[in-house]
Amino acid sequence: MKMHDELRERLSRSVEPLRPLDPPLDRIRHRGRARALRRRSGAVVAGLIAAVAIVAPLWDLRSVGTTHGVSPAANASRSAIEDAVSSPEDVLANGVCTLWQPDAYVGFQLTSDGPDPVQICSKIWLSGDLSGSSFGSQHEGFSFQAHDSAPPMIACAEPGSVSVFFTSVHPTCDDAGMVPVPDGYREPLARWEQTFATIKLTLTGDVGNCIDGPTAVQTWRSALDANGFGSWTINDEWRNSQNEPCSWFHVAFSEQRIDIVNDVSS
Amino acid sequence: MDVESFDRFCRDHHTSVVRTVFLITGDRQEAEDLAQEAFARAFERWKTVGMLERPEAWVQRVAANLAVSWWRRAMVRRRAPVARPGLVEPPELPDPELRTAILQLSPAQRAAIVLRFYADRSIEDVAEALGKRPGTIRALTAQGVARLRVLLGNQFDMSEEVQDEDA
Repeated sequence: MKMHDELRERLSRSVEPLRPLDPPLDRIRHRGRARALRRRSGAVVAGLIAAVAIVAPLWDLRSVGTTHGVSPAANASRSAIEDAVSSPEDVLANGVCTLWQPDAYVGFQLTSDGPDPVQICSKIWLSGDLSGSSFGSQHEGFSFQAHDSAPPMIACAEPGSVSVFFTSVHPTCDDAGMVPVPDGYREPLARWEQTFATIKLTLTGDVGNCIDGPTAVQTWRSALDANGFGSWTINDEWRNSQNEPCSWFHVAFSEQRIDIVNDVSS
Repeated sequence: MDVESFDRFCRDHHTSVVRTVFLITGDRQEAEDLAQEAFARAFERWKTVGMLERPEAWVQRVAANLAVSWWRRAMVRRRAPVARPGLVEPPELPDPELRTAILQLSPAQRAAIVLRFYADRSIEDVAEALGKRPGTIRALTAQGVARLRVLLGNQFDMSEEVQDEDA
């Protein structure tokens, strides 16, 4: 019994100084809404092409958000999305394959010299392998099978991210409230990789590197500017603190923003 | 959708969920991201989850499963169950030996130990959270504790230990 008590105590003590920032509520809600959208897409594929008029109220469209809406306002916002994703400063680094079964989707990271989003998702579909080197599955708990052939897929973008759908689900990106992934997405991505390589070298190159907030801001600013991301903003939330002297960062691709914060483990 | 109650819930339980996931993954950034994902799933179903007696237990369960899945994928990617030095283990946290030892347990053992002893959940709760039988959780916990004892070189005081408090 004593060992268990000691274990309890030591576990608690060992993470007690780990004080994460306040939860990013906006981001969390956005992720929740995106999940609801994906679930809705899955439901459609599963044969629930029941009239939107019947189904939509059940999904509480207010909580689903407007991105995938079909209202005139949504149409208007799509041209804004198009402008945003075609901007040389929009980085489409993260993506998600929506894979037919409800709740089954696989996150992936795009690289400037790697396969395109449709190729990535087709490969997953064909191989049934969710654990490939560049993938991070976000789904839980079912066994995913290999398939003999891949159905037609379409890659769609919104600021900062890509989603791949079966065309049987969304025949067009417009149908999903998104826009086609621009042909030139690799170019900003290559510049982003260059930017991040500089940052990584400076900020996280050595174990235990402790960079204060102003240095982090300066490093990010010059790396962003040098690589054509001049309109990206840096949100400096780092506060000089004896207890937490080092900085950390979060990248908000969709907002083109870097958040510099205190490294709470420092 | 009662966004206010969700926000309050999120603020109240975010830290403990991040810590739980950190103990399972050993990676702070992933812990924050997986915790966000778990809370996002709660938000997605808040009408239901918010009605539960202990919605935080639901989030912790989702987060623990995400953490175990993440670890398994990370192992495949790295072909070795080792932590990435520096990025994974903030060296300033106390008792790094304990966390290093925990990272050497199997993902299931680790999740069982963390939920049982850090999150202070009952055997039945842990079994439900991890989708296993209570007997399996007892076995995983006992194996994990035994392994920790070996890895930590008998640092624990064993004088009053009962082999399995839950048996």
